[in-house]
Amino acid sequence: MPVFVGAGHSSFMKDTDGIGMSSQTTTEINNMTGMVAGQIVYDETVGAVKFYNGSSWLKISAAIPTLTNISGQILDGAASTLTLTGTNFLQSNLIVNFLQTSDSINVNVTVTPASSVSATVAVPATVYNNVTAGNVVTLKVTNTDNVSSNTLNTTAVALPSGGTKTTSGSYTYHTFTSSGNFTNTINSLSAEYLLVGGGGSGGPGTAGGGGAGGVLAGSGTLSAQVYSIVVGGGGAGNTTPNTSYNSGNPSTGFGASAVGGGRGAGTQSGGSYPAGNGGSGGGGAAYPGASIQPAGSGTSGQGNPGGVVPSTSNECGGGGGGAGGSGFNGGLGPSNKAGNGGSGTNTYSAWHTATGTGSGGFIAGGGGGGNGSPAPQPVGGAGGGGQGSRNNSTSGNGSTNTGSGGGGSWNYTGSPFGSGGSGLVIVRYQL
Amino acid sequence: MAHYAKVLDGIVVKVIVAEASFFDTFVDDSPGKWIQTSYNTKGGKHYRPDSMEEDSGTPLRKNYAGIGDIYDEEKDAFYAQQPYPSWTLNTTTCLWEPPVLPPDDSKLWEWNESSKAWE
Repeated sequence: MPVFVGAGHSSFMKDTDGIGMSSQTTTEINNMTGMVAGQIVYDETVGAVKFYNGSSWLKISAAIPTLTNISGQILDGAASTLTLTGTNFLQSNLIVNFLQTSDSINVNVTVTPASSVSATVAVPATVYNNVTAGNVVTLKVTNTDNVSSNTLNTTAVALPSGGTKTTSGSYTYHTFTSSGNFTNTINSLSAEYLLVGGGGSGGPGTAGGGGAGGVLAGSGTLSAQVYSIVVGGGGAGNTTPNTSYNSGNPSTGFGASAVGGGRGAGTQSGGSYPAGNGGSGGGGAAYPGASIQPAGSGTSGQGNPGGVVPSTSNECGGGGGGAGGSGFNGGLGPSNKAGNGGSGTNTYSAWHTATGTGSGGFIAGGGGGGNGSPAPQPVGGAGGGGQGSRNNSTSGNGSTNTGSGGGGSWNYTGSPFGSGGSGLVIVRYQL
Repeated sequence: MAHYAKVLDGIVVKVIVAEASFFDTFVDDSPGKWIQTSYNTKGGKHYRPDSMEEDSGTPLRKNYAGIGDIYDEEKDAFYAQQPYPSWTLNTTTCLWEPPVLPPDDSKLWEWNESSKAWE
């Protein structure tokens, strides 16, 4: 039963239910005397309840929230978080409404605002699993007193694309075994990348192994745009009797470049075939009666030098440098054994496991140098380095998309020398 | 997986791994033109990817292009620079051949351009 105090125009009054209060015009209110702080009255001129704060009459109004900005993006197919900026967010139980009619989305999420002007909301699965990229999603917030804000629109975006896409743990990977575009749709995406240059070929004739392509990792904050990714080819080896040998080609992306591997040196064929510098350097070589060909150098932070052969009394090649270690020197021991290829690196084994790339978790091994018998078969470095030739056997190519070096020839009239393996680019990020 | 060579004034300056569609959007303002080459082609024959064993694949432009190699537009072929003045280009394989073949044994021979002989 309501309580009624007095009756009439200027006191508590009852209509049919509830309680009422004094009702006066604005002029009458302003002319009142003897007010006390906390006194309330209904201003029938403006249609609002007013209270007296000790010095003036102020309207008592509902706090109407406003929405002025949405930071973050709604992703088609993945969770994300939005930050809402506005005014008059009440301190708890703010209802955020997501509306997209054609995708049959009308979802409320209740959050606790960080302040009266900011709130974060995780986009629910019922939104990101149903929304179509390119469609506009309308958001509004509602305070606990059921007063709602204006609406703001944000357009749902597709997930980044390009290369072969895989996920592992919290990471999404894009693997480029061939040149292509990485299309980033997410503003300020924190991403990491791994660039591997193409491997160098082995050398012609009593030759060093090819150096591995450079391995360069980096990270950055990517804007929403298309990034061109170029995967470098391996350096061309050759059949016999030919002397054309080639360093690998760089792989590029995100403004960075992984240098191609250096080609292995050659000595036997009467000409001067120096080793190439590169991501990792090509192996050196020596042949009786010819000058020593030194090994190629690696690029700091990307690889290592090739192995050397110390004397013209030797008759073999050094191993090509690998991303994980220098090429092994040749000419050691009584059998004139060539140097094996330098080891590749397994620093990024998790990347390779997730993407099915590399060789046993390694990449970018150096190619083995070439030697005759009775020295044993020179082997390539872990990660896909090609074996060097032994006598007239064919040298191995560097494995595809590992950036590994090709094996060096022993006899350029009888043992073809291997090509370098092509490069690789991987991008990964967490959503 | 295709390869393309960047050719400038008839000389290969770069080789990349790419499909033809990549060049629809690739912004490349460096001079020269891109020509497809085959990693597995040597001497006009096609070889298995990880060996020098010939297979039934279709060879392309005689040889896999390397940096510094020649692209001969008339022959539509890639081949190496001439190693010695006396060597001649086999137009079938686009490989350079010496005036005299090397002895068919496992010994090491080197070409002497002065004497035009294997020594």
